[in-house]
Amino acid sequence: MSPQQRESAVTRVEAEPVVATVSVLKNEAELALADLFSKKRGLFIGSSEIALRREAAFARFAKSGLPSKRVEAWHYTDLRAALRIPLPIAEFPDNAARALARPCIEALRAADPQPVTRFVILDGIFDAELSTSHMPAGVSVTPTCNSLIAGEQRAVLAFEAGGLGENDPALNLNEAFSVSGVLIDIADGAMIDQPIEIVFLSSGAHRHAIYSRSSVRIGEGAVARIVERRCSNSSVGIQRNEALYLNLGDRAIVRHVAIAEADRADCIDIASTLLDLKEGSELTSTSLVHGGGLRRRQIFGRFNGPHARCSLRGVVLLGGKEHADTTIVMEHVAPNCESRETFNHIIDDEATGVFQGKVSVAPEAQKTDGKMKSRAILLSETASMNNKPELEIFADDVTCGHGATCGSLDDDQLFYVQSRGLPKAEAEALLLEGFAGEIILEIANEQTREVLMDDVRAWLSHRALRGN
Amino acid sequence: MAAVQETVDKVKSIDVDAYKYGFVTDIESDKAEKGLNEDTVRFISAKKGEPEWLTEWRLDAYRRWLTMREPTWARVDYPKIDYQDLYYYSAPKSMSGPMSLDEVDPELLRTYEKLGIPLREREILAGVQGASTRVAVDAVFDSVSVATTFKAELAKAGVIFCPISEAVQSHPELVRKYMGTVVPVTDNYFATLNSAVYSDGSFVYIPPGVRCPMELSTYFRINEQNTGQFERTLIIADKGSYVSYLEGCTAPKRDENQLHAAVVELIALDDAEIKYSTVQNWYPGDSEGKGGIYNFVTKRGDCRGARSKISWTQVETGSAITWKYPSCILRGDESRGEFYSIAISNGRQQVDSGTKMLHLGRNTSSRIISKGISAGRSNNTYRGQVFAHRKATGARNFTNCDSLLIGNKCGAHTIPYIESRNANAIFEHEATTSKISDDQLFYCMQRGLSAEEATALIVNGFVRDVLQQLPMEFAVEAQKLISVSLEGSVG
Amino acid sequence: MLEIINLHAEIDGKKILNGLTLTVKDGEVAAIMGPNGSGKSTLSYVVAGRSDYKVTGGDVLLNGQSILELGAHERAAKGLFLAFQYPLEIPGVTTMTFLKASINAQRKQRGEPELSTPDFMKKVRAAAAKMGVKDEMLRRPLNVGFSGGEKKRLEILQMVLLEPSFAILDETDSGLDIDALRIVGDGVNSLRAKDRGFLVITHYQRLLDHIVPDTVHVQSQGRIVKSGGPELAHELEKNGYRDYVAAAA
Repeated sequence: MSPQQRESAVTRVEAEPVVATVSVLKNEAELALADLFSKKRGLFIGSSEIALRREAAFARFAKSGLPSKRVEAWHYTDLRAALRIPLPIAEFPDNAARALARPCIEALRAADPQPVTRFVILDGIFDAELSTSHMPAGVSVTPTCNSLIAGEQRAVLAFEAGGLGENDPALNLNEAFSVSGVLIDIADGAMIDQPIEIVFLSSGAHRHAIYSRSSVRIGEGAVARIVERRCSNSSVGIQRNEALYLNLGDRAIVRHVAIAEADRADCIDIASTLLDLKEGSELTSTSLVHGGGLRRRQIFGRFNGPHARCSLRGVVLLGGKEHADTTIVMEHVAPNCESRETFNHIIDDEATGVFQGKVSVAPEAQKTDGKMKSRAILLSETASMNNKPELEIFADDVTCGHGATCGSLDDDQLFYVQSRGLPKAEAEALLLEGFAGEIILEIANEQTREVLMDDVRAWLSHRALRGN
Repeated sequence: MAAVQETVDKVKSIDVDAYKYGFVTDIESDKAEKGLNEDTVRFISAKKGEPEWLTEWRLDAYRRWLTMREPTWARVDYPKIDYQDLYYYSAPKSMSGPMSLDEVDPELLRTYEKLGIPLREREILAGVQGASTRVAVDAVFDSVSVATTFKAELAKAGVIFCPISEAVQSHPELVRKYMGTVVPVTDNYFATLNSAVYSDGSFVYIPPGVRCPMELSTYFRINEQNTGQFERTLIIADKGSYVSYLEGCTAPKRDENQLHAAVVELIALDDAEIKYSTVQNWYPGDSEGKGGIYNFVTKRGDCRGARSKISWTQVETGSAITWKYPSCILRGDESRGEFYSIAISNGRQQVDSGTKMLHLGRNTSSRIISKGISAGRSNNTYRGQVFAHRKATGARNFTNCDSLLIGNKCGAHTIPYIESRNANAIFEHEATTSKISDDQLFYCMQRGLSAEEATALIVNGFVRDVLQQLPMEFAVEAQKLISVSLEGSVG
Repeated sequence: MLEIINLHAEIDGKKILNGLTLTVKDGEVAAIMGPNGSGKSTLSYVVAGRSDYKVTGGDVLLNGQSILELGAHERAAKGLFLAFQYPLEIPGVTTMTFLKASINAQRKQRGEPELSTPDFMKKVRAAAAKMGVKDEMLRRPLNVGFSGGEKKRLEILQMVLLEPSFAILDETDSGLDIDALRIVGDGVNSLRAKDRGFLVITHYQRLLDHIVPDTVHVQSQGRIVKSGGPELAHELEKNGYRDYVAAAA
């Protein structure tokens, strides 16, 4: 880096506007997306209300354009630079795609330590054949496309998603282009013991862009376990932009687990989770995320009723040249709610981790209790971590705080473990396993916990094999 | 709860009367024509009798500025500034340049006395005992420096302390070597504007191995209407030297907003240390947000040498809008940067302030302690960047940002950017937001303190870590200022 | 002398005190005992002037003068002291600073000259020695990181320094071990005087072994339901509050 470059790099906070005020579609990718939308707009399924929503969403996108690092919410993930050529939108999966997908789902079934109600979204389209056919009592399901064709209100609700993240450019594209996904309904008061797993799978049959929109409504007082799994079978680079709306009714209790398997370096994967929390509801979410070319997991949550609680915890494991961004916005608009975000990153090689977490508290959200913690361990000289924990507070009677740390493994701990007889590599693996375990061991279900810990151990031993 | 409600009610009625430096000095002034163009830049340069290289330097900045856009990313909101509707140069008519104190207009001396800044050395000496508490002052009134005290004594130690316009004449090689090397001409909109039209400010050079024998201080005063103040400060601490520098500022109460766009550059060479303290008390505007200073300031220190140290301490109570990020570039190995800040906002004030700690060298360390207090209808944002370069092995940062809210119409925001490119850099950041609890207030009141006294006491406790960083005389002043700033914030 | 006359008070619309009447004369130590939730702490807050409690009827007189219209700090300056059940932490403000601020704020309100630093220090040191409070504790931020016992001892130290004409001790025995209980009892006893009254609020008899009261009152459902001498406390210790809870209902 020349001194000039360094100077410009280090003076960024003052020198550069982080929020783009006016921007018109101008680069080739943006023009291609606009072209795609204008060609498709007459062909999309759905009621006129949905059509209007698509138009409005694309108009918002057109106004903002693809986010570059000048956009505060995308400061560390330059989608504009990464998405040079938008791929064509995925067609209905053909036989080749199905053939590639089937073994993946079979492998999942075989690995199941417990019975699971599974829904498969293959290349953005709900696949009934690969999904479970028998529903537990209290659970009903409709493919998003069927609901759109039937002109049902619940499809509108899934697209509307309580207005969550409506200024996010990626989510706007998702609303404009999604035609399928799955809409799940859990009846009021239902107690669903079996985990409900939604598998977002890309077949890898073609190079294309995948959009899907799914939702789960958890009725008043219902209790459910939901697993969100992102699998990629790609032998080719693809672009994914999929959204899941979790709508918790009053006093609903949800245990949520999200797993994102490693992606290819030429893949772009944006997964949006929208959380709508009503009075007295409770969501506990644990995630294990591997990296990809450009992976972004964004969570937009809002406390819409008092006394709701939400705890988001996650482990992110990155190596190679992977990039993973976790961005969370939790809006407190009702009083007496509690939010917790706890994320641990382990970053190796030349990988880059991003954690942005924003807790915003409206004037009426008195007695908000918000705590956020982000910790990162960097394992190589060339690994990077960017942390931006943000507080935006307009109510005075709150206790909010955040903490962020970043560094290498603790030398004293390492020495302590080695002094008990472990070689360095094993000592490191042990400490890293513990670091990930802090998050994962909080999962109530023992089998799920073990599956995730096995995943962590596999990653760590793979790392050891690579010769670190 | 009741006490908080009273606070909110009282804040609504907060009055500018609390600002006791709001008077205007009636003095004839010599001004540049309103507006900004190349002629304005040439006019200022000519007034200062500057060498050609500097005139060109200014013109380059001006041309560059024309291509730039005003930044919009900060969390502040103000009507568009008409840069053609401002005066860029204003000097008391009686002043053609710095002169001996006996020649200074008595009206000006009275102004500074009223502000509590005696400029006559005799008076200063008469007022205090012992030489250790003396402070040398450079007094800047609108666009010019009117007086600098203790120059002779400082010169004996080899310390250069003079208006920067004088330094351009007397030490051109130093000015040319260092000016614009920490904050480049093209750095940002306001810094570039400053480079084009800066009028005066202080220049300090501490020679190798010298511990500056007294505190140095600049006192800025904006008096003239519709006049922007664009001062420029350059402090160079040569190898192994030490200096402690204080900056104070006030302005009259005026209904119009006034622009203050300063640039401060600090350079610390090997083993040198600079301690820079600010008590910023510009006029904040009235309770409805009318008037007040726009404080758009670029302050940056460059720890250029190994084991050098730069420490910023600021107490920010004034200004309608504050946009300011005193920063440290930790270039030298084992260099250290510190940022201690108290930012209080009341009425309709908007503060977007923080720091940048840019770790480039090995084993560099930094520490950030920020205490934000929001009252009234104000918004107070901490924005800070901590960065470790790939080569900054062993870098360490500790950051603590605490916010306190008084009332329910204000906002407190924390936006840290923590960026590490090095596995052996250790960054720790913590932030909290809280309020003064009614229980605490009641407890203090049960012991006999009024609500206002109780609030001041609790706030002083909240900011104690930072107050301790200020030089003694300044800490006392700051403590009083905190009470005044929060006046009317409790019932 | 403290006179509480037919006092009614509520918080957030909930009635806590329902016509409580009690007089504590100069030189008298009165104890109020009662089950949890009988409104004992509320009584102390209302008398001391916490603004979120609303007085809906009755009066409180301190030395013959109604104090209900006065702010908490004005009542303090008139000589009323409340030892809190849960003393508050004030980060960054040293105990010493707090004590000086309190004493001088009260003196100022009473039109008395402020204490000079040496006089203040002398006074604090003497009181601290008596209460077994170490110098180091006085330099620490008020109550921050203090143990329960330390906090309570510090409350009594403040009372000794502020020399109130009437003191209310709200559950001062909670969280105290035997030694601390004795120190606190000694501190209170040393202040017993002809012109000073005490109201000791407690759930248990054990504090009253150290501070022997002249009168004992039973509070239940926001009223005094029984009054008697020290023997009443022993009876309560043996039989519990059940009879009185029933009586008040």
